[in-house]
Amino acid sequence: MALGQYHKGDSVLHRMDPRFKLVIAVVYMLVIFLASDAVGLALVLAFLGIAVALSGVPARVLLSGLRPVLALVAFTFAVNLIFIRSGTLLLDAGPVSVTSGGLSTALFMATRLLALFVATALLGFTTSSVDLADGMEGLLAPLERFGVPAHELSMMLSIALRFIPILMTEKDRIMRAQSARGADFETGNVVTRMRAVLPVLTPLFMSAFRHAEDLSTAMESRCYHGKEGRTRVKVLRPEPRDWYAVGALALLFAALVTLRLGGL
Amino acid sequence: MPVRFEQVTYIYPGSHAADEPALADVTLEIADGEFLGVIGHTGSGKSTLIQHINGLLQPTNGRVTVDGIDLADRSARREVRRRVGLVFQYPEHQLFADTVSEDVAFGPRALGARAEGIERCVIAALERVGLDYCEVGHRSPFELSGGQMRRVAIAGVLATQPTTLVMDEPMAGLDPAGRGAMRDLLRALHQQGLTIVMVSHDMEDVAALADRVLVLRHGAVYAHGATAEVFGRHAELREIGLGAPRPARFAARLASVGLDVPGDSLTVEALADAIARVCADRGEVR
Repeated sequence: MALGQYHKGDSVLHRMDPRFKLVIAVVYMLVIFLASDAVGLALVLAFLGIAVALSGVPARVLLSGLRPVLALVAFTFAVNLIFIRSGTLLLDAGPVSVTSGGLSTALFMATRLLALFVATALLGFTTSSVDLADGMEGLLAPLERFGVPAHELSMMLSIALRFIPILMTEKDRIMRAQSARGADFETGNVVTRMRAVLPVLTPLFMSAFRHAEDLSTAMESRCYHGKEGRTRVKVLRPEPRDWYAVGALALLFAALVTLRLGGL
Repeated sequence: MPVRFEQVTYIYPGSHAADEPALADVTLEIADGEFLGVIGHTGSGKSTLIQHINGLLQPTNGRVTVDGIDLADRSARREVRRRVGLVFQYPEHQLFADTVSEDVAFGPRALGARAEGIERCVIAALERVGLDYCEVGHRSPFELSGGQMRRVAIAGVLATQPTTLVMDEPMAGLDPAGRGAMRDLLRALHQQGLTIVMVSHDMEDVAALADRVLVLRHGAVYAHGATAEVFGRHAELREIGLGAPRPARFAARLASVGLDVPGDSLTVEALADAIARVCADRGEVR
């Protein structure tokens, strides 16, 4: 998931109630799979396109966030293109041939996958880790009655997200320190490379424990003792815009269901 | 074994062209056997500079050579890493092995030393930092005290027998006793013939140890020369917020009230001697 790469902004999407944003993102990702033809897919993309436009996240930033998964999308496209054989033959190059059915399925699959990733990335870009944790806590709160530690879970999530960049920096630092001592991370076979990881991993774990200890001391010295009696700076309250978003998603859902039923 | 920077500019990848470069047109030479102190504010380019000395960073423009070996050459970089030992800030955080001797042996082993040579390297390296192989060699580095852990980490770098030792804030986080011991250690290593480059925030440490000083500001060389000469420029240093060592400032104040103490008294001992001499000249002290 492309979380923890918040892009600061003040758009409608940024200001939305994180509980709504989380639910809408998850439901949207399920709704994507209702689209079974080009029209359905176009509607799904239109919804996403509007969301991207409203978010104010520049396309450049969005694309750079997607770079790690583009290979997967390309792979999906290629596999479908080559292995699905239906319709007319478009290209015949010996062992590899492309059919019209293969091409349309490949395009369809790749687009659907891309929509999935863009939706996830958009959630990450428009929701700070604090908001995300708050949203999760808000959504889990009803389950507290059944013993789910909602507050603790969301605290864990926000700490974990916060520490990703810190540990990344630390990893770089340790790798540089060890390569100054002659460690080689770039060459060798799988076994030597695996062994080269150990001098990085051990200090990284030590540093994680050190951070954890410091953090718990800092939290305790500020009288943190869990959820009890804790009030919030930002109280989550649904605004009209949140209900508009729900409405838009419901419309999309209804349209896709109609399309499917009509298609039968 | 001189280290030479020729018009080195370094821009961190991903930073914008409009941003200040981390290093801007730095040209300098570090001679064999020199003890160079590098001072400057946080973000002035000290850490970037020292990572160029063993090729962890490659200049965006210009070139860095060590003993005439250009660090742009990938295959030569390994040899340079053996000759130039780099000790990062809080080096004890890079310890990882089960035992002290294993950890110290990591460097020589990675650089392809032979088994029988390695143990000798480890014993010698531990001895140079004042630790006894028989006493600590088999222990876990994590049960040692903070100061000892730092010594083990330094031994881990010395084990590759570098001729130049580059240290980033070697005194950071040490108590006064540890500080004094670290000063003694650095002085001893320098006397053994190592070229030492030390980055420090502490003017007193630099004044006590270095024979030349490099002042960096916004990635560029602001001043570079003999320690007494650089610290003699109080006013300029104060202007950029760095300040000279306390004894030098004290000497300057004495001079301003008419007591002619030479401005190159950088340590408390030197200042005391200078004052005694002046007083003797005036006949106030017999």
